[in-house]
Parts: sequence; C-alpha cells; structure tokens
Amino acid sequence: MEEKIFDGSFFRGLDRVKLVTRITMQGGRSGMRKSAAKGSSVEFADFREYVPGDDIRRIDWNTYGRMDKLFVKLFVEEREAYYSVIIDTSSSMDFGTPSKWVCAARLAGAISYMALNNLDRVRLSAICEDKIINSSDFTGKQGFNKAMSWLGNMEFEGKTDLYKSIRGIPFNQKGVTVIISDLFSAGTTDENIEGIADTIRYLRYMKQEVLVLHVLSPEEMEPSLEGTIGLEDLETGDILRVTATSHLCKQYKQVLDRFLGKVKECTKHYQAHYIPVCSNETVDTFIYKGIRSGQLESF
Amino acid sequence: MGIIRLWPVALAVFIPGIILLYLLKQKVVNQKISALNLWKEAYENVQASTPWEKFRNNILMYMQIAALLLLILALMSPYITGSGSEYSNVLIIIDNSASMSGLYSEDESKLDVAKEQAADYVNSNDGTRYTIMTVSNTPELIISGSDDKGRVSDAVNNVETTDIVGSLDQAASMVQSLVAAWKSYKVIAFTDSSANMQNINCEVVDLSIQGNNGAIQSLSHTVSEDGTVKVMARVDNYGSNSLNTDVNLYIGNKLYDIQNVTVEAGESSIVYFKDIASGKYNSILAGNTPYLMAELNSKDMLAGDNIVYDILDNGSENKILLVTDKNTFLEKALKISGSQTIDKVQPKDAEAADIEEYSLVVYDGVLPGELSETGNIIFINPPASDVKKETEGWQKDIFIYGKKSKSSVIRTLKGNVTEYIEDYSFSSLDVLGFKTPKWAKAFFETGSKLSAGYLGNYNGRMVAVIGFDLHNTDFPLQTEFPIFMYNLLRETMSARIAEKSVYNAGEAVSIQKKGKSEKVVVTKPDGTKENYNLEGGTVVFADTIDAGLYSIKEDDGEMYFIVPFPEEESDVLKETVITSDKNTKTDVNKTLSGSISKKMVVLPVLALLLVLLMAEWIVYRKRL
Repeated sequence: MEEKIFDGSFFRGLDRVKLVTRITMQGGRSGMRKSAAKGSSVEFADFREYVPGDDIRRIDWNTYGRMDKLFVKLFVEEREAYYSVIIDTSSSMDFGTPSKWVCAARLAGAISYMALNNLDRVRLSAICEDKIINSSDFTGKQGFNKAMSWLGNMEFEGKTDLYKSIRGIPFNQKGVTVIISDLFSAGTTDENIEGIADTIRYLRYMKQEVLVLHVLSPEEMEPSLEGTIGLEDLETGDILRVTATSHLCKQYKQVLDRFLGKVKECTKHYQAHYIPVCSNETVDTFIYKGIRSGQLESF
Repeated sequence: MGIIRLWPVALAVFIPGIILLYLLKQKVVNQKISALNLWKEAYENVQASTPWEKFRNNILMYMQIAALLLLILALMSPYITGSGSEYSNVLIIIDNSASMSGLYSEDESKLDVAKEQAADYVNSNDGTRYTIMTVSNTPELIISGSDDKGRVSDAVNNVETTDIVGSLDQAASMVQSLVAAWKSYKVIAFTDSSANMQNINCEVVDLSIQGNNGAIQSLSHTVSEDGTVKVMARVDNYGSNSLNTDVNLYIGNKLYDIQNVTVEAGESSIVYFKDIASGKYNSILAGNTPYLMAELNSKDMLAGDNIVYDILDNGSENKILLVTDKNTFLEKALKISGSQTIDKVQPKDAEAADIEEYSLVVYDGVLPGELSETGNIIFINPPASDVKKETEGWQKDIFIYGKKSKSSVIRTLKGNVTEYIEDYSFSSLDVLGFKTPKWAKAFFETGSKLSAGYLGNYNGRMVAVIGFDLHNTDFPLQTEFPIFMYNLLRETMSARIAEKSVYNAGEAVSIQKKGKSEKVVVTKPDGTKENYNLEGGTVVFADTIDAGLYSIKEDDGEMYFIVPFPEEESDVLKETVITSDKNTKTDVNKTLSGSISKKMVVLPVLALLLVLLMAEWIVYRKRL
C-alpha cells in the first residue's frame, strides 16, 4: 500500500452522518438500533397487564389511577447493527488513476467508521475468485484502528466471481451487507448482470439489507484511447486488438451507460441500494450521494 | 497568393506511399484495462467500418503527409501579393506613346513593366473600382469603373505600344474631370515623359531610364538631271555615349550600301550613301517596292527609331503634256514637279497626242473636244465662250460658270494647294469666276466671292481649274508662284490616292478613289492587310499607330506612304517633368508603391515544415 488512504480530511464530515438501516435488528448485543425485542431503553413501546413477577418499578401508576388495573410499560430494546463490508480484491480493482482499490478502501473505511461510531459491529471481507478473507468483527472505536490496518493489508489479484465468493461468507444474523466492487467479471455484460442479480437475491435471502457501491475509474467512464491498441484484460490477460477512434469510444460509452442502467435496475428490483462512485471522487461526494439516496443521514 | 513552378506537385505521388506504409505497418501498443467485456461489445458494433478507419487517429501519418505537402509547397516557390486597397476608385493611366516601347531592362519594355505593375496592383487589391486609361496623343478610356479584376487585368495586359508622339499632359483635363466625381481615389500614372498632375492625388511611376539610343531620321533623296539618285540620311545620337555604327541602305528589300558613322553624344551626323546610277537604279527597282530604307546596325534601347523609309518615284515616269499656244514660262514652272518629260503641243495637235500615257495634262487657254478617260488635268484660263455654254457635254460638271471680271483681286484660300502661301493676294485681268463644284475645293477666290481656282477628285482623277491667264497677273513674278506651282502639281500629279506620302503616327489618311477602283487594300508595316470598299469615293484609314511603310493598293493604282518614328520620342535622356501643386499629393516613384513585389514565402513554409518535423519526432518518441 504505497498510497496514503486515510488522511486527516477523510474523517471530516463522517462524524456528522450515520448509516441508515431499514431492517429491524434481531439478536446481537445491545446497541443503538431499534430491534423487535422489548427491553430497557428510553423509547416507549407498549402497555401490558401486570403479571406477578414483573418488576414493580415498571407499573404505570397513572394508568392504575384511571383504569383501576395494574399495567406495566414496555420499552424498545436497542441492539447493534451488523455491517458486513465485502470488498472486491480482484486485479481489475487495481486500475485507474486514482486506483479503484484506493477508493474501495476509503469507502470501506468510511462505512466502518460510521458504523463503529454508531456502536454497530463491522466485519470486512476481501473476496477474489474462490478466496475469501474475513476479518474478525470490529466494535467500538478501538475496532476502527484494527479495521484500517486490515484494509491496508489487502492484496488485489485474481479474477472476480461475486456470486460464488459471497456464498462462502457466513451470514449468521440480520444485517447490512455493503458490496464494494467494479462489478466486472468474466463473461458478457448480460452474464455480469445475472451474477449481480444472483448475488443480491442470495443476500436478501440471507436477510441482509444490501448496499452496492459501484466503483469505476475515470478511465473507464471517459476513455480516451487512440491509434491501434491491444486492450489487455487485467484479470484474464485476454487481448482485444482495436483501432481506437472517437466513434469506438462513443460506442463504449453507450455500452457502459447501458450496463450501469441495468445494474441500477437490477438493484432496484431486489430492493438493494446502489451508489455509483468514481474513483476520483472524495469522501464528501460519497457522503452527499449517500444522503441523497437515503443511505446516510446527518444529525 | 501564387506559385512560380508547378512540377513539385508530381511529388504528391508519394502520399499514397505513406498511407500504404501505415496501412501495412500498424504498430500495436498493448494497454491494460480492467475488463474487456464492455469493449468487446462496443467493438462488435463498429467492426463493420472500413480499413481507412484505422487512420482516423493516426496523427503521425497525418503529420508526415502534411510535411510532404509543405515540402511540395516550398518547392513550388509560393509568393503572396498585397492586400485590400484603401481607395474606392483607382485610375490607372498608362502612357503608350512611342518612347514607352523602349527597353527598361534586357528583355522588358517600359510598357511591359508598366503593364506588369498595373496588373499586379489590380490583382492584389480588392474592393476597388478600376478605370484604365491609355494616353498617346489623346487619352482613351479602356475600362471605366469596373471591379471585375479579371476584366481589368486583361485590359491592362492588352495595352499596346503606339509610335505616336505624346505625353500624359494631354490627359490632365480628362483626369481632373474624372476624379472630381470620386470621393476616395488614387491616380496611378506610368510614364517616361512629362505629366501634368495638378489638382490630382496621384502616384507617378517614372519609367524613364538612361541609356544609349541612336536614331536615324530624315532619309531623303534627290534625282539629278542625268538620273543619278543621291541619298542621304541623318543619324542622331540621343544617348550619353559616343555612337559608332554602320548604316545600311536598302532599295526596296535589297541591301545597296553600308556606311559607317560616328556620332558624339547629343549630336547628329549626315550620312551620304553611294550615288545610285540611273540604270542601276532602275534595274534594282525592277519588281521591287519603290522605297528606300536606312537602318542602324547597332542595337539600343529604342528599336523603333533605328529604321527610316523614303518613298521613291514609282519608277514609271510622271509625264506631263502641256497643251498651250505660247506659254514658255508655264513650261518652266512645270519642271518644278521634277518630271523628266514635259511634252508641249499646240492645241491643234492635242487630239493626236496619246493622252493616256501622261499622268498630267495641262490645258492652257484651250479645252479638249472630249475628255480623256484617265489622267489628271489642269485647266488654265479656259475659254470663257466654251465654259459659258449650257451644254450637255463633259464641261457642265467641271465648270459652273459664275461671272467674268475685267479685273479682280484674287485671294488665296487655305488648303493643300496654298500651303505656305496662305493670306496672299494678287491682281489679275480677265478673271473667270466659277461656282465651286461639289467634288472640288476652291483655292483662289475673286473679289465677288467666286472661285478663281479649284481642285478636286473628279471621278478618280485630280482636276484643277484656274480661271485666269497667268500672263495677266504679276503672280508668276512673285516668290509665292513656284511654291504655288509645286503644291498644285503635287496635289494633282500624285493621283492622290492619299494626300501625302508622309503621315504622323495616329494621323488619319484619307484614301481617294482612283479611276474606277472599287476596293482598296491597305497593307500595314507588320504585313497585315485591311480591305475597304470605295463606293463612297473616300475611305478614312486611321490605324496609323505604328511607324513604318504602308501601301495602299486600288484596282487602278498603288501608293505608298510612310509613318516615321517621332523624333520627340527618341530622346531617352529627356527628364521626366511632373507638374503638381501644393494642395494635392503627388508621389513620384520608380516602382509602384502599395504593391506588389511578389513576396516569397518559401522560408516561412520551410520553417513550418521544420516545426512539423520536430513535432512529429516528439510525438513519435512519446509513443515509443
């Protein structure tokens, strides 16, 4: 890791936003998220008739005055959210200026920081082909330093097969899964889209709220090639010899736009959240996009 | 912008070679990308494109083709000419008088230089209306207010030299009236002599140039009584150096004599040629054109004045028949004509004479019974009784009787016959006064305003009538008499197809019908012929702008006349005098300013080529 991924400006702004989840937590330790369980918190949930054995401190004496019956007040139990951040570490992520992996690491860092800040639990996973490297669960602010260290040690090599890789990750409880990837894998774009759909469907099945952060480099979004070129695939090593013209670049843009459109449509279809990110964008831009999409909220 | 040579265009054949090299040798550079699938899909969509698509972004190939094109352009020696004119009207005056035919450089005449500069100016200035004027002895507008550059250039290029004497002074008033109507104008005048440019904003291009010029002028001959012809010529040296040259004398087109002459600068010298013996003269002339030509052998800056002509008699002798009773001194007077044969017969013998063989018959105090069909006639003192008669005979067209006076003062009227003796009068007894016939012009007038003498072309012959007896006046005793006789004989005997044998360049020649001629052919010095119909009796030939020998040939006669090169135009050392005033701006330059010299742009093109080659090298290095 030669580049400095996290600098002082990185944390600015992250303190003022938090991650939003739409799922109700089940299980897990206590935290800051609403859960289906009732317990002790400041947030009122319901009344229930007193049964012997209940803590008499929870009897609502005002209700007893009006109804002449004993009722106890129930409160929402707040649990922690479980964030699973999956980072695509295939060779294709080591591309672009600035490189996509730098952007991916920053996004993973930002997600981790915000989650840990909100007393949530974070697990990082690096996937590549059939290789999966899962970190331990990080909690608390101490956990962020470990997470940064873990992110700094990632290696980007090999191919991507998102669906196959994700199936190897254990999802033991409800939570939020963040996929950070360029979503490029072998096969046609339609096959790619199919793989993405399978992945999201699987995650949804595993009771995960899915957030897809689609990272592309500026070179991929606005290619400027000229002359006769052998285009070499970083993952497969395949070479496509083309004469790059403005017409070809225009055609590529159309294909890319079509691909992005399909990804967006697919994520929407399976109720996943989708945020496209260019690797030259700052974390502030990401926060802005997250707030707009409803995945982040400021406080 | 223009180019000097075209052959480098052939080098363009190498352009397909460059393209072929790139077509065959496409160097592929591998570039890593994150994933191929999007590119594959995009490429499939454009794969149907032609092989030429490969060149679309091949900047090196384009640079090399551009470099080759620049090299070709540089070899073509491109040049640029001026820019837009600040004047809405430009009047270009070109002096095309005789001196402008002189050499300005080794192979260009002054007029060529003027035309070239004028045409360049026209071609290099836009948004201007051009008026083109040539001036010799009179100004002539060739183009008036045209903005068609092609037409104006053509008109300028078609201006030809004349051998007419003249200067731009003649154009002054016309130019002033032309420019008075223009708000913004420039007058450009090309001349080598004087120019009056008062009240005119103008630029005068002075084309006068110092150099050597010899001129041969005044070739003349005299025939002595024994028939020997003496020929002399005057050679003038108008140049700044001494002139030593041979002078060739031709009779007809045969070289007869060569004399060497040395003339100091600014001086003149007479050259005498070998006498031409009578017999030899006739034998040389046999079958040849009856003229003498003298020519300077040396080359100088003005070729037009190196040749001079002189008309000889036609070889056929002018014979005169004098029908008189006792007029001896009329016989003497007739000898002024130079005619070698004057036959005198008594009136009673006149009928027996072969009148057809005489070119002039003089009837003194008598009238013939019948008028011969040909030949010129002078009637002197015709019998009053005969001319009074109202007859149906030949007399009625020639004599229109007016009145007979016992005595009268006779006054000369202006005309060719009275040349040099205008405003002269004398007294005479017994004067017949006539009404001047339509075909004639009076030269003597009586006190009662009748004609006492007239001359004219009557049915292709010259007929003169004098209405008094020369014995009855003191006129023959006066100095004016021989002049009168000379003029009268010249006018009647020449048969006068044309009035004179020497005309100034540009002067109109009135060609008279001789005999029963119906057509006349005029041959110009360059050999071109012009045909005219003589039905009207007279033809005016005005195309005498070139110096040299002209011939007029009718069915019943032939005549030559000469247009000499004007002496005034030979003086090459004459300074150009430009008259101007303080109110207007007059520039005098040797080359037209605001134009036009072709500015070569070979160096900038080569510099551009060098820059392009450097840029190509940089691009090439970056691609490695």
